[in-house]
Amino acid sequence: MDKLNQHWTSRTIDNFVFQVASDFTMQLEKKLEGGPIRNKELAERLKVTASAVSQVLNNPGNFKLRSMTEYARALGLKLAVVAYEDGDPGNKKGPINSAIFYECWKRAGRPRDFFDLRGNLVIRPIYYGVSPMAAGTENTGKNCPEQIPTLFAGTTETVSVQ
Amino acid sequence: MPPHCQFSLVGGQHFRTRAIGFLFDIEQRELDAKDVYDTLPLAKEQIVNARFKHWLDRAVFDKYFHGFTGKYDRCFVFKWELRHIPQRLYGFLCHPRPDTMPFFELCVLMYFATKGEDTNPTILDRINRLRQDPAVREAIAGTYPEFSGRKKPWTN
Repeated sequence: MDKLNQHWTSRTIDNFVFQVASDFTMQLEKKLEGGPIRNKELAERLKVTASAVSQVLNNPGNFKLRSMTEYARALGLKLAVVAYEDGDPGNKKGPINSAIFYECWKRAGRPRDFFDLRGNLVIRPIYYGVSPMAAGTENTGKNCPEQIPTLFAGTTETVSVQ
Repeated sequence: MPPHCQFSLVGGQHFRTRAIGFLFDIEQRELDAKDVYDTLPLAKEQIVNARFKHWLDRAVFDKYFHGFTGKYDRCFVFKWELRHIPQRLYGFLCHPRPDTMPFFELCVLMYFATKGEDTNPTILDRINRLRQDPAVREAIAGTYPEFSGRKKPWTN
């Protein structure tokens, strides 16, 4: 495949890993930005220097699962590793941002186990005036809204049908 | 620099509701964002590509990229660091598919700069001037014909 037509995360496994790790560090940095824990305190909890923390956050390509877990736990977060099929086996579109999985989990009522998923969980979709598929670049539909909401900005209702 | 400027989309990304491209000038090389991006070392290319994908995914995080307010409200910047020196790619946002997908957003990157904490307004002024230049619109219309503003003639 032409290198330019390939998604950059398809060129090497390292690139794919870098993107996934970068999605993860964005979550960490958002948590740090929201306080109360700062880089210095995070470093103390991890027993490393503040510059080591900055280095990892700025260049997350070398993150290992163990250190990812340590960083997440130090910030009071947990970590999940998710494998998924998105209908893009050739990875032409790149990976799905991990924050999207997190957002979906919250919108589903934060299920703790499969018991919470019993019955038909109905998640009301956000209506943008156009189906998500219709927003693809191939589509030329005319009934498009001015702007679709930004990631993290939306809210929705979750209804569990018993 | 116009009328010799050209426009090309960034390679290696998937564009769904947003896209990123470079405006460049082969002769004068004043619009240097593309040159800098094309010659980034691998480690930095990964960081910038990941930043690009975050924006394309519609994530919001000012530390990685952000717009501006006031008269620069169409200007945009992607940010990263190289040995603690802030690196910036500056450009502007536009909606190049007003008829078929009005919410589709394009970030047109033009200038590279290393900087301190405050953005040099000279760059933003130049971007503001250029983004309204007909030659720039024509260059972008080569990829997004609707952006030229010319209506298609009726065929029936």
